[in-house]
Amino acid sequence: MSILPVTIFFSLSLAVITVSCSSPTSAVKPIEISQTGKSQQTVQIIIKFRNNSDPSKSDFVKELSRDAHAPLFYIRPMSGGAHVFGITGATESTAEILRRLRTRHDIEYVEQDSIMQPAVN
Amino acid sequence: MTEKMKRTLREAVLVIIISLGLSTTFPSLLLAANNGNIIPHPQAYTGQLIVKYRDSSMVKAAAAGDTRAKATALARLNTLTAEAGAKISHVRFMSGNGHVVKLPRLMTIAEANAVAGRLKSDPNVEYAEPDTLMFPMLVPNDTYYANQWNYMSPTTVAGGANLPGAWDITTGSSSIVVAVIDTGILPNHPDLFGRTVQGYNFISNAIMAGNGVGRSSDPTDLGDWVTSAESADSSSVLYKCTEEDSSWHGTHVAGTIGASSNNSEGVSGINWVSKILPVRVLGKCGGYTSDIVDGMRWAAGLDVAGVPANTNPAKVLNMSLGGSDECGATFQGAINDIIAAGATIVVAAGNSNTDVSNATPANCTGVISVAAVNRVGGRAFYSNYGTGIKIAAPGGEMASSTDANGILSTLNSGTTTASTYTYQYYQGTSMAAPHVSGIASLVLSLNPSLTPSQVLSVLQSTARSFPTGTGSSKGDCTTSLCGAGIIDAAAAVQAVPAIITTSEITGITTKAATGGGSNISAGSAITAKGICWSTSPNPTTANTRTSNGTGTDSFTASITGLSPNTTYHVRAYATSSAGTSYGSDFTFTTAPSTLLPTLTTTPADTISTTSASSGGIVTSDGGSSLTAKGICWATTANPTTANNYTAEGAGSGAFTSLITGLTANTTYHVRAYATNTTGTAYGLDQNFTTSPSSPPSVTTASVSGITTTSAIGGGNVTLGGGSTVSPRGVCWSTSSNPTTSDNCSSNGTGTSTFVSSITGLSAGVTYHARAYATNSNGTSYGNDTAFTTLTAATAPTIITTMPIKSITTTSATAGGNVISDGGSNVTGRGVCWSTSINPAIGGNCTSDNSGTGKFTSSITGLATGTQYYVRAFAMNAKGASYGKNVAFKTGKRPVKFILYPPR
Repeated sequence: MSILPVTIFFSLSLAVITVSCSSPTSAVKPIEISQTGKSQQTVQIIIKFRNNSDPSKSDFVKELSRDAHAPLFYIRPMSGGAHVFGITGATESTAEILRRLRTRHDIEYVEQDSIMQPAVN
Repeated sequence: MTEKMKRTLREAVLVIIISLGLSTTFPSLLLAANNGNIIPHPQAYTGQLIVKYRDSSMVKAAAAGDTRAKATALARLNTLTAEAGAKISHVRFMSGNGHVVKLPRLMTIAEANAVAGRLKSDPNVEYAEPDTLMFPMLVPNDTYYANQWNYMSPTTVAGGANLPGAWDITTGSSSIVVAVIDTGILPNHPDLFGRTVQGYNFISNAIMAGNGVGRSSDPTDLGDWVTSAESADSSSVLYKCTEEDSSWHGTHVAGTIGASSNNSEGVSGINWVSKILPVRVLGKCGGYTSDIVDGMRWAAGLDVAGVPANTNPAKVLNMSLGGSDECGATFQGAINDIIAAGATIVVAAGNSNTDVSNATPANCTGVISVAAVNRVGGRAFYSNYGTGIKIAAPGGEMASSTDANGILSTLNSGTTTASTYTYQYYQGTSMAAPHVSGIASLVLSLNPSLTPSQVLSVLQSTARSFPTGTGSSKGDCTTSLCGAGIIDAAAAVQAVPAIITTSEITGITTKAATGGGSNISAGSAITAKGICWSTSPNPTTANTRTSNGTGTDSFTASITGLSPNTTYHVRAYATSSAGTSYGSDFTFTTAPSTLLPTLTTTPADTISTTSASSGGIVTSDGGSSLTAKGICWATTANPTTANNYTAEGAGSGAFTSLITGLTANTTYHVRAYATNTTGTAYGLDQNFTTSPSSPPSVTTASVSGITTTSAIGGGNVTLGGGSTVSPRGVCWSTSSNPTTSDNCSSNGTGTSTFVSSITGLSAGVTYHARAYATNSNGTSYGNDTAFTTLTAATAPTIITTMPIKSITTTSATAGGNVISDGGSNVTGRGVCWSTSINPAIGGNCTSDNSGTGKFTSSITGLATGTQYYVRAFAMNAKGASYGKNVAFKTGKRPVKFILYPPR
């Protein structure tokens, strides 16, 4: 693991911690894959591919999982041409998984499917 | 003010509106006459001033009917006109010794104030001011309206959004839909019932949705409570979620945007008419971005796979939600798509008291991020801030859960599932955002064509400056912290640019067309309208334009001065205090110039020495009616109507013309012509040569009226032979084929029939007659006609003695019939009688006129009982002739009987 991904990992983790400790009005859902061991929580990510390939095919999902070093599973297509994937039981942090996936040339963008909260105080 | 006073004032206002013809200019203001306080319309226009002279006695006397004082007062108007720089005229004297004067036109208050200012420079004028139109301010009658400080005018509550002034102009439009992207709503809340259109539940996770299935067509908020057990269950999707009761957050937000209003119940909403589109994206523990952006796109009318199309696309999306992160590609992509679709996205800035750049989707490009202010207009302690904020709105700031400094709206008392419908105070940028969404929907209600950036511009340009010295815990708002200012609904709707639809272009000719404008509305009075046109796209009032008055009525306008066959762009325009707006750019092309007619020339035929026949066929009138057609000819090529020509009337088609007055043996050129509004066109040049010169052609008429010495002849000159026929007549002789060397008559000139007298003939002689005609080329003759004169005259031989009638003892009636005069006039006739046969002239005869025919003779002086012989006679120059003898016997004298009397 390079220094840069670690930096990203910690910065994201800090953001999560900050939000989870503050009011519930503006927080990303505090579900995160632990640094050690497998998390049984499902993290959702959004991937938009550059081509029109069918990302729901099992072979393609396996390929993505191999590149991400995490067990991805296909959830559903989104409006706007992106797709929702789930990750359960990953050993890597979400940030690292996203970093690995961003190295694929067929991915336009990939980001965590963050959870939004009502902005009531 | 008592109700009676209010009613009287309302009536007065209506009278003023009608008298000034403003009923169409301020339609929504008339609706406002049912409610609340009376206020001057902030963007009012007036056509009158009130002037008070220092010497009030004059006006007082004039008002009392003093004609001299009235004349003096009116005379002063001339002075005032000069001082005012505008024509003013008398309207009436008013109470308090004031004088109402009329301005030359409808003026803005600023313009009227300028005129009044000039009048006040007159030392005789105590004061002069605009006769301002007053309007009732629309205040809803909802039970808890008084608790909704967040709607109040800034003169009442510094942090208020100033709704009443906006409601005077619009309370919304049914064509506008506002989406509430939230926890869903409780559609059966008494203050929301009937205020929604069909929404959708986009929460994919069945547990978070709380419905066991995930996505569904039911956007009802089922509650978003999380129990401690759920939060502690590591196998649950709700693991580590904050333990909390149901918020009914979407219901609260929806109530602010559009609760049923002026219904004497609950709270008021900002938009009373437009419908709410509930889009459920937040459930237990919040909502995934992936579900939220699907809900956003769907709300704006964009496609989402697996979800029925939204038949009520929203023009405004309210998103009182967020999280801490950068604006991701997922959010930004959806926001870009939605803005491109024309929908405005309003997002709560977040409640972390931090820079909004860390709150998404408030930090995304293109959204209206909203900070919260408290009752006094200071920044709410929780509100995010920063240069990323676009505008501030009331979000409340509460010291306790029941603190009335929060935002009161629709809610439910259920801590898990829904229970009792209530109204509660909430605080947050979640509460500020729906103020902006609601006001944006009012703006769009006046002008649905505004783009999201235009909506933002209207809201920001009319936002109020932040008050200072608010004493708020986080200090005053500034433009670098809380956006352009505090949203001001009244100012915003008044700043809405007019909307106008360009009417279809009709009546297009080569030089003109008819256009117009319709569907005109605005947040302030329309002070000018018309159409403008140019050969370039998107013409403006700087181009050629019409002026079609003021107000919101539709109009038609004439587009003139155009060039043929040219494409023009036309837009209707409407001007209000917010500027000039334009309808869509319509293009049209003027009709091409009328073409010349097309035609052919018919080759000449029936050619003689002096005439010929030609004509033409007009195959096209060139697009306009023919005004003339015919042929023209000359001895040179390509003759025109400047030469000899015929006129065969208007209309297309074939025609024939006779060409006359030609010279024999000459070549002529002929062309058909046709004229329309564009000009005269010609067919191809056709030439012909007239026949050479020749003697005339003549025929001989049959001879009639033959006597012993004369007869009637004649002839017909059918062709002149190319020169003047003279003389003409009949020649006769006892020899055949008489010539002009014989006896001839002379009977005029030219080509026509003629009659000739043949005289000096001898009786009983056979003659030959021929018509002749002479021109410069010689003499022609008709056919030889022979006839024989009558023989010399004889005594009338054909005479009949008529039977004797009316025989008495001494008289009888006789007569005769002269059938023929024997070739000489009958000069005498009658009957002769005698007791001997063959009585003759010289005996007893009557004389019974002359001539042929029947006659009656009276025979008298006869002897009784005597037989007589009678003959008719007739005499002419040759003697007398007699009819046959007719005998008769006179009667006997009758016997006279004497009757003796009886014995």
